[in-house]
Amino acid sequence: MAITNGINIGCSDIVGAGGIRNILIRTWADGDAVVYTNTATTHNISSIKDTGGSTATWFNYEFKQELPSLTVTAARENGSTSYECALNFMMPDMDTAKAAALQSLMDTCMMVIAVGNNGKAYVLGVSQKYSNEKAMIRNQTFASMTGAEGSTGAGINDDNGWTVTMGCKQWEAPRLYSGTLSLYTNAGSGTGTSTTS
Amino acid sequence: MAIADGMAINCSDLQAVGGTRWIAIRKFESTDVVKFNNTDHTIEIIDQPSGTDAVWGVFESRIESSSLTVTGNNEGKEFSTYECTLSWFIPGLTTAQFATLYKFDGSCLMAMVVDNNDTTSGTTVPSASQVHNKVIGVSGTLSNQDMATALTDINPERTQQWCRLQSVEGGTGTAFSDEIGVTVTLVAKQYEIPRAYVGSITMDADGLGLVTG
Repeated sequence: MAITNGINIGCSDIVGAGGIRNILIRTWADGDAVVYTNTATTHNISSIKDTGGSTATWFNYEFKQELPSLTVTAARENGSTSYECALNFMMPDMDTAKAAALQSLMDTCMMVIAVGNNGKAYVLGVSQKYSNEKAMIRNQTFASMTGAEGSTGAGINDDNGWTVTMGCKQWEAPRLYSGTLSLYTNAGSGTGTSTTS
Repeated sequence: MAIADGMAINCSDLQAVGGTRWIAIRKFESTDVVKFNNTDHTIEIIDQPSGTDAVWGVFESRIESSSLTVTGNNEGKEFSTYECTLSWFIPGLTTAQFATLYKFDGSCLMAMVVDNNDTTSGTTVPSASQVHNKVIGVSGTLSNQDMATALTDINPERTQQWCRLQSVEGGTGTAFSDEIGVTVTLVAKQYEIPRAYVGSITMDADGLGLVTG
């Protein structure tokens, strides 16, 4: 694809804050409908919906502030460029609810939205390049829990908690979500959900 | 045939990516009809029987685990021998998968491999095209000379250059983190490099079958 656009850097780009504000996770479901948007200036997902539904439901994972980060590492080999994406977040206090949350992240194929403090919503585990032609659920670029480290710490002022890593390998840069994202308003006992449409 | 032109390598050639997009397999039938184009080294028609689209099964694999290898060898004769080896990994080791694999046993097969280069460079949108395909197990050189209707329209069943199941290797592994599944290998020995199929390819709605005509 020929280069048809350069890039500007404006004041808002310079002052954008680092770090992650929200992390939303859901399991891929048969019939999920994803709309990709590709133009010279956009690389987005404009809609994620459950099969036959008008929205898709996401679960919220809160974390200790200023610790989560999303890193993307692209590597070129022959004609192919792969993107390794890793999202780390720390859930303080290794209690039973956190352990149960970790259990639910195992053995499942997921998609993740990480909303940065700059307001941008980055989607992991949902990519169009090399996607299955007939059924999105058979895409093999989903996100997985690639690691979790728990520690009680040793000192009294050490952290006690789980650091979770969500990862995916895809063949395009992570897309931004440009559709409607309704964040939870009540997350009592972790039951609050967000939706995309 | 005189060599009147060499070969250019362009930027687009250097952007070509590896791996396969999907694999289609079918059994030879006595009523198969294959039409070769020997000018372009292609296959124009694969029917079963003549005038009716041939049915294939489409096999997915774990991403980045499938490959076609072609090894040509000439021993001073007027022809070269080409060993075409197609292998892919099927994760899971399930009864349903084995039931499908058993159908390969003792069967004379043809296989079509589509690589990942139909998509326009730089775009992420999956291509509906299957131009970048190779067919193994169907070859016109030194084939049986039982011509059905024309010199390029042969009954391919007796060519003896079909594709066969060579091995199914794999298992459960031992550790929880080991891979569970099998690598399936099909091999065709033929006397020409694999041809591209240029006729129509229509895939099923669920992407697990297709027809050529």
